[in-house]
Amino acid sequence: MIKLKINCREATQIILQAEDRSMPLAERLLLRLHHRVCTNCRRFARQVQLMRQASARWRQYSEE
Amino acid sequence: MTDHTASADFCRQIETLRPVLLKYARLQLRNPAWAEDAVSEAVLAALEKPQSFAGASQLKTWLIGILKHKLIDQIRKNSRELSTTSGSDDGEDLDDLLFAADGHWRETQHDWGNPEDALRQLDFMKVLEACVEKLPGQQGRLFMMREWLELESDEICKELAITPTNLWVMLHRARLRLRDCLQAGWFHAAPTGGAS
Repeated sequence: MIKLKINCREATQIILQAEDRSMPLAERLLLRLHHRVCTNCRRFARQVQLMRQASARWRQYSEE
Repeated sequence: MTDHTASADFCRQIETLRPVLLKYARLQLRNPAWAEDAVSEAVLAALEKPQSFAGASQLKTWLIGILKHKLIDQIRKNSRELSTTSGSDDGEDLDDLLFAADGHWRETQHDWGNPEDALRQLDFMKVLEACVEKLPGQQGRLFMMREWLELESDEICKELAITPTNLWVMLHRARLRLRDCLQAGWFHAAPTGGAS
């Protein structure tokens, strides 16, 4: 059976794993559907994105 | 003295940067003795081939580059010990605190606003560094390998002989913890109101 809905805990797991491996298409679609109805997870995803940018900035800062 | 030996001035400049090198070595290795070794090796390597410092880039940039290689050497040398410390110092599981039994967030998540505002500020870098330092040992080490040494996940798994699942679990915990720390240390000032 194909799972069509994920909860927030599962969504954050996908969001975080995407930082360290490529995300399979099915998971990307599930996440997109979830984001459509969930402000909290959208915010969480933006926080993770900001953290990624922060890491890049930090690497630069550590060298200059 | 020939052109191929370091001048006194060059030595002095490198010595001034030693504390910074040590800070990052400790953040990466989480072991003071290994960190000292890596920094000493990096400094020695720098003094042995001053001619490879083109002078075009900053001295710190060049030294950090050398240090990164020495840190990877240390990780390799101590890989057996590093792979067995997995999970021994995890701290509490944030997932259970964040999510209710049905998998929903217990609390409304905050909008962190425009990243540019934070990223431009030196103080934010200091908060970020303090938060990375607070990560439990193995989580911190893996996070640094991934984000600071910029190693690929499969390289990290290979070096430490851990499974991808193990790596993802540890990085998942590290990132949640880091988020928690940044939220408390930087973004707390901006309440978001209710989720819409």
